[in-house]
Formats: sequence, structure tokens, C-alpha cells
Amino acid sequence: MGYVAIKGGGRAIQNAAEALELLRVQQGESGLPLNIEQIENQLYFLHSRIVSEGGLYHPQLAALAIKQSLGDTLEASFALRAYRSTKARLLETPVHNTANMRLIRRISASFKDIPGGQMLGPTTDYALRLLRMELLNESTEQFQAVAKDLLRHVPTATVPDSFPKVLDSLRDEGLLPNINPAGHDGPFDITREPLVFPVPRSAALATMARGETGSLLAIAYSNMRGYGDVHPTVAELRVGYLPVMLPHPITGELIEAGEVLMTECEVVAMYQDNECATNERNSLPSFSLGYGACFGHNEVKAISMAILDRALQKGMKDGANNPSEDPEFVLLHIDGIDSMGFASHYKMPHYVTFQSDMDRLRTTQSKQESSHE
Amino acid sequence: MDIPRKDWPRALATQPIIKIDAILADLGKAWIIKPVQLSQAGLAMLQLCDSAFNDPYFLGEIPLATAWIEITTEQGERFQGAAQLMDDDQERIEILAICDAVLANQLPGWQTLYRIMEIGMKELVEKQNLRNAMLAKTRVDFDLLNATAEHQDD
Repeated sequence: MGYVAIKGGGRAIQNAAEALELLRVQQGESGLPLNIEQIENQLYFLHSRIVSEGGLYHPQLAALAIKQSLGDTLEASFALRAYRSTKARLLETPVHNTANMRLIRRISASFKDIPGGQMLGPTTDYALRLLRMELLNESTEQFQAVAKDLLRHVPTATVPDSFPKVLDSLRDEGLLPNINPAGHDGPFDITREPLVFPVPRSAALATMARGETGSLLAIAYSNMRGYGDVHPTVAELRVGYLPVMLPHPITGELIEAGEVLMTECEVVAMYQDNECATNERNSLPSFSLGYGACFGHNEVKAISMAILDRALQKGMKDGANNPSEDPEFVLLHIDGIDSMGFASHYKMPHYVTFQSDMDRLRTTQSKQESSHE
Repeated sequence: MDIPRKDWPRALATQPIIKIDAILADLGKAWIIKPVQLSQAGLAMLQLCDSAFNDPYFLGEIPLATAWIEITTEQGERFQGAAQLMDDDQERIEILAICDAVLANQLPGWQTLYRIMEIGMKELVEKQNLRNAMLAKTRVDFDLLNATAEHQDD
């Protein structure tokens, strides 16, 4: 395969950029620009996808990326990731425990009476999926009236600072495998090291955490439909804000530097015999586990990741019987920027390679014609 | 309101930085402020512990600005302050580091700054109240389901 420098397209390229800008402003003088806060708040789930798939929790710049890419999730994530590549890495945070999340949603499909209770929070789970026609012509006054009404009487609710994990109670009952001892090597940094297989589980988790939602869902769905045998039950699904704590440079005391909105899911899957999932306390079979988490509010992604984590654990241990259990297949095909880049590159000039293909075809055709004569 | 030091940067960050800068300019007209470490704005890698197996991994990156300064007063006394915030504004983080020195060492006029911080903390508490209300209002009540199950058992 070869490329050749192309000349003569400079003006067309410049004008194409202008044409794209024209699309953005085509409402003309009656149009109003989207502001960053509107994108962050009213396109909440889209915004969540970008912070997660871009791999950078920067709410303001994620909203900007959505605005400049006209809502294209892959382009927006690409812009955010390009931005991050220009910035210096200052530090790695201490290990954070998600038990400290300030929750806005917490559910379990395993038990109804989970410690601390189930709270639905903001969700589309029970929506009728009927179009809300009244939003077609929603006025500023109507919008503000709804906000005023909902925000006027916010009760001071007594909610604990943190909630126990459902997994902890299952672990106490000896139904789960033991947790890994602390003190092993630090996590794999996918932003600095290439994935050379086999890779540690931390590399798989980090790759899936910034993977493209649709890609993760598609491969996880193949497992759900029968190309795999995870059969998960959601032990707990949490959405909330994790305080980011960093040591104070002078005192060493942990200081809250900010918070990140994130989604986390733990699934409990088919039990395994004690050879597979050792529970040292009683050497009895235990459930297996899958774990998923990502920046932003994206439940489908967290659940898909948890299913794939469980499938990959099986693949890493016993070899892959299905695509979703093959670490190389899964981890090299879920990055939106990688896959979009490869697909898009086919639009670029391949004049030389295609010329060569045509030459070979013509030669083959003439050889066949002469052999028939 | 007693605000622990761990909340100082985020409480102050909710307030207009021009306002805080103006207060500091008034407090420390004769101060000499030097960096102990050069202030920086960049990224940090957020490290989490997976709750299934306790494996540490990187969830992704966050913006981070950091500053560490030293104030020398007109009497020649030296006080240090530092701040780290999920932000990429280098100027703001330097101002917050100065605030840290003023508040931690209770330098003359620190109460003015503290009052601004209280306003910021109140805003953060209100935001958290909203989240808590969202959680409390959507708590699932399984009593009805339990009662139905008991009835069926009968």
C-alpha cells in the first residue's frame, strides 16, 4: 500500500471547513448559538458519553467538543482526546474507593432489600418512550417555570454520606471469590503503553472505561445472546459524584480537588467451582464477578463493560470460546477514535494503490482471455 | 460555619476569582509572594480500586492545576500555602494557594476571606441537598410488595 502527495485540494479543503461552519449557523440571523452550560445540562447523556469516550473528565471542554463537532460523538471524543495529548501529566492520584461516591442513583437487581435501600434517581427506565410533543415549542418561560417549580421546595433530606456495597454483604456470606491482595504492581497506563497481549486486567478495565459505548454494547450483546455464558445479575448499579482527593503539598492531608460524575456496575455471574474462583474461607464454589465503570452517567456502558470484564476473565484463564472472551478481539475493537479513524481513512486518496489494483485486474483479465483463445 | 481545610479550595472556587483577588490585594499590599514550586496546569490520572477484586486501575484523566507559594510579610515573617484543583486556570490556582496561606496561618484580615468561603460552602451544601433530595424522593418502598407476598403466603 502506498500514498502519494496530492496537490490542488487546498482551496477545496478550506472551503469545506467553511461549508461545515455554514451547516452550524444555517439558521441564519434568527438562530442562537448553543451555550456550553446548555450542552452540559440539557444534552446530559450525550455529554456523559464524550467525557467517558474522550477519556478526560473536563465537562466544559467536552461541551465545547460537542458544539464544534455538531454533536458527532466520535469527532467530539477525538477532539477531547487530542486536547489531552497536548497537556502535561502532573500526577497519578491516590487510589480512590467508590464507596465514597455522592450518589444520585443506586439500584440492585439481585435483592430488593439492599443495605441502605434502593433509590431510582434520574432515570429513563420507566419512561413510556412516547414523544413529549409539548417540548416541540417549549418557551423560555415554560422552561424556567418548570425549573422554578422543581427547585423551589427541595426538602433537606437526611441521606448518609456513603452507602455499603451490595457485594460486601455477599462476600461476608462467603458467596464471592476473595479480593486480590494489595501490593501488586501499579495499574497499566493505556495512555503511555501499547497493548501487547497478554495484558493485565487493569489494562482491560482502563481500555473499556474509555471505549465507545456502541462497540462495548455490541460485543457484550453477542455474549448475552448466546455467544458466551455470562448470564449476569446486576448486584449494584450506582451513579454519583466521586470526590477526588489529593494530598495537600504542605501538610499531606487529603484535600478535595473536585468531583467526577461516574457510573459503576458490579454484576454477579454463574458460579464456578472452587478451582476457578477460590474462596479460601470455605473452599466452596462461589459466584464470579464482573465490574464496569466510566466517567459520566452511562448505565448501558457500565453494564456492558461489567459483562465483558467477566467474559474476558474467563477467556484469559481458559482461552476464548467466543469473541467476547478474547481480550485481543475485544480490547482492540472498542476504541471509538481508533475504529472511526480506520473507517474514515478509506475516504482518503488511495489513487496509487487502486491504480495498482486495476493494473493487476487488467493483466489477469488479458491472461485469461489469451488462454481461452 | 466550621469549614475543614480539605474543603477550602472547592468552596473558594465557587466564588468569582476577581472578588477574591481584590480581597487579597487589600490584605497583602506589602507582601512579597514567591512560588515555592512553579504553578502548573495539566492533567492527573484518576486511579480507582475496582470493587469486584480490589484491583487498582485508571478510570481516565482529569484536569489539574496546582500551586505552592510563600508569603513574606512586611515584618519578614514567612508563611506557605498551596492548592490543587480540578481546573486548568493557573492564575486562579495561585490565588487559591495564597488564600490557603492566609487562612491556615490566620493572617490579618483572614476573616473577610473566610466569609467569602462560607458563601461558597453554602452553595456546595445546597447542591448536595438537591442531590440528596433526588435520592430520598425516589427511594423504593417495598412494603407493598412484602405485604402482597405475605398475603399470598397465607
